Amino acid sequence: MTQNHDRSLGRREQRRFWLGWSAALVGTLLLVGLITLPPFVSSPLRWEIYGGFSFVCHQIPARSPHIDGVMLAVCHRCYGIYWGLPLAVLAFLLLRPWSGWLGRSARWLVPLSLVPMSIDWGGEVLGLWTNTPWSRLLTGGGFGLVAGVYLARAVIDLVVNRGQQVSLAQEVDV
Amino acid sequence: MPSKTQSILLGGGVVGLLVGILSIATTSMQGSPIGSAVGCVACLTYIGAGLIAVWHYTNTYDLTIPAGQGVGMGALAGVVAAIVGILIGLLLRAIGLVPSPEEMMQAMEQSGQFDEMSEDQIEMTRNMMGWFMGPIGYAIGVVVGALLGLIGGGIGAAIFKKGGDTATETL
Repeated sequence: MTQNHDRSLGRREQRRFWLGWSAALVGTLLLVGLITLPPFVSSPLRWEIYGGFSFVCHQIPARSPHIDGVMLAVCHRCYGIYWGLPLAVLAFLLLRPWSGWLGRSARWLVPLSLVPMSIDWGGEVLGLWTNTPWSRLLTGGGFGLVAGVYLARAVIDLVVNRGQQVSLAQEVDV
Repeated sequence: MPSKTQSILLGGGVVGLLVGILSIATTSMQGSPIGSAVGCVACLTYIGAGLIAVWHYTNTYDLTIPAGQGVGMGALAGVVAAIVGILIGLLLRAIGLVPSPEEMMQAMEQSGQFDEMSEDQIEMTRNMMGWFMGPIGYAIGVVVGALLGLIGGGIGAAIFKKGGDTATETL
């Protein structure tokens, strides 16, 4: 009876895991899709999308990606950050065995992921070099990947454990 | 579990106020590295809303929360931050503290930013600055704020622990 209960709990946990992971992946892909949408829609929707993202990005045209001459909703660096999110959710399937280590390492891993972005920006400000669209995209992507891993981890936890502390007896290694 | 409302309002309120004030810096210093940097870190400030909310909660009540609770708090803090930031931005614009589109265009031209842009991009910039956002834009802004706050909450739950692992460790 206990074994059957444990197996059914395991299957239920597995289903919740995939539900949480799917939610994280779909959500982040929708976000990237929304950012990429402006060249494919006409005003006023295009301008509303620009307006929505104006709170989180400077949207300077010379520092933003374009498709067919039409700017996307955010700059290169932000685009890299946002693309890092779904890629990280995909990568989390491989990183699952290290979920505990990721949790314990957040204190230094997250600040470390900001360093390349800071160097890329700071170097240009100090006149050491001129950053490029690709450098902004990739350094932003570095932070996006790290942030995305914790996003995936947290959303999955929200679904699997229903955001509640569970007792040791209920914890199942999925 | 203790109430999370105070922490959520604190995280969202602080960041919303900061974002509203930074909107002045972003628009009035368009051509400068500072203006560019401020605009660049705007998304990080919304992540900060979630971080602050979780930090305040775990620090005040001396506990560790699962990542799932962290994202919930972070998302709500992000919503609060977005709404507060929008309201403050509207207020600053109404009292004239935010430069007019013409003044911003002039600042950008003087800074040499237009040297990097094509005529189409300059025209797009002019159109963007003159655009008065409607409800869809504000709704997108609130959703994006919530998502970024959610990320911050997830990170915060991993960073701000007061001892003991949570079920997240066994995912």
